[in-house]
Amino acid sequence: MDVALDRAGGWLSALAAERAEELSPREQALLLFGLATTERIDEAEAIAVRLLRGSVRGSVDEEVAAGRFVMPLLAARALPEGSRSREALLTACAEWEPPRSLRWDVPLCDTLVPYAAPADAVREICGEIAVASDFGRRELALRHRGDLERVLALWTFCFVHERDLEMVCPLGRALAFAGFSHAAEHRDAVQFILEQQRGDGHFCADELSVVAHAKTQSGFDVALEVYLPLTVGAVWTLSAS
Amino acid sequence: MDAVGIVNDLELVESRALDWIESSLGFFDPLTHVSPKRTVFVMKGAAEVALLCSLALRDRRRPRYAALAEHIFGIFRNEAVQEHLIRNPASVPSLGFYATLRLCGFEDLRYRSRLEALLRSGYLDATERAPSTELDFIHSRQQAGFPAPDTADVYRRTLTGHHPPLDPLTNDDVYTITHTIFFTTDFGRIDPPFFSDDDRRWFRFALPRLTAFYLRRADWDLSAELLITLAATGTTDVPEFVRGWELLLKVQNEDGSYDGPVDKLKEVNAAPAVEPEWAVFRDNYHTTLAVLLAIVTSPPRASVRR
Repeated sequence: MDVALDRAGGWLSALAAERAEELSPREQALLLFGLATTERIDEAEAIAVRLLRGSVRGSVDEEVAAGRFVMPLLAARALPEGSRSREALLTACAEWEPPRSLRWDVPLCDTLVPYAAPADAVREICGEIAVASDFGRRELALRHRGDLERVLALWTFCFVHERDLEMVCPLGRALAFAGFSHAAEHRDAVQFILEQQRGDGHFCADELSVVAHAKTQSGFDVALEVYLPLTVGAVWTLSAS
Repeated sequence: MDAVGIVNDLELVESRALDWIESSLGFFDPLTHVSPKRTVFVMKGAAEVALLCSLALRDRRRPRYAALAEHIFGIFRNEAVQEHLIRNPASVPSLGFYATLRLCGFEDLRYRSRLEALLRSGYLDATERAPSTELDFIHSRQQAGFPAPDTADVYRRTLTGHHPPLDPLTNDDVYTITHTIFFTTDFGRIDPPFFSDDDRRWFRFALPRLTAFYLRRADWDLSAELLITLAATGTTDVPEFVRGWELLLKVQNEDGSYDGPVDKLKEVNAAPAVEPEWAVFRDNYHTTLAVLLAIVTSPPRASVRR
């Protein structure tokens, strides 16, 4: 796994070197977190400086409001103590307090949710678990632990079978953050993610379709729109595992 | 919804699905079609209706299935249809069609003697088949009252008998798994002595996961077939069984049919335009029959554990 993370770090470093000027705040935040997670500290610092100079406040607020993950906060945590940007990023994100309740702590197996919830709802549940666990830093107090484990495992199986990297990454993290790393499906998710790494270090599943889609859409930037989020999602899941 | 509610709804869903099949009976008659492809397609469909009827009638009297079987027997009795069946045993269910109608109480001695001659010639035994198709053939021989080899060795050579990992399985693979379980258990009627503990562990591991996967995909065809395999292997104490039934009962079309798998529809949509009524029949008849097959062989019991 360390080798995979290192290769991903190489790809992210190259992206930072070649395209830092043209990145949106969200892409900068993604790249910052990816670089920090893969221990490319100098490159991460450079992106952090750029981000702090720009719209990090708006970016953090938007992330929280949208219920998505807080990349700058996580990047700050991933940066080593004493690094130039760590304290500045933590200060920028200081107001954020993760909620502790989990709306989905219900008897899920007695409902049709496991079989009928669309991908967006699955992603939302994964996001809620990530936030409620403070991204794996605190144990979830669950009343229906067995149901949640069974359903997350089931969805992970389904999306691995669909070869959907975009969904397997948050599910793999949700299993880890909720304390279900022992599940066979978590191991399957990690294995699946590792198998999706390409020679230059980026991650992508079903690349033939991605390439075909890119050919039909003028201005479609495969590296920024597909490889960057998938690669950061993959390294996040691998490092959380 | 609990198991009692599901059982209560089942009768209505069955009745509406039968309404749709009965209103589509004209399409099942090969003689009403001009295209040779359609002729063969609906001949298989008619044989599948006969299979459904044979399973529905084996335990109790059900007048609607009896009437359906009688109608299908009328199609089967046509000389042109029989000629095609006897001359193309590798591409149409020549033996299975006869066998299931025989179980419904219909006999055609002239056709049977032609089948006997075909079997005696050795051609049907010599034809190369995948092991799961071989099980279908053996099952049909048994149903038709012809001598049949043992299924244990054949089962061990199937994909199911090898307990495959689930990740690489394709839809076609999953169909071979469901069919292998159909024919080795006689659609849940028998518990084969050759099923080992490893087989049963694999069923308990694989079948609920595959059921959940196809329910999530809204593939009601394989979902219905997998519900049958859950019941046939005694794996009804998993949430996928009751919830699968609950979902299946909710997604019936207004006209009583069930939509066929999305992937297949996509392929079909790329094909040249056809009459809308035929397109609905072509896309939905198999899934509607699969749900009815599940209803008659593997209904949830009010007492089933959740």
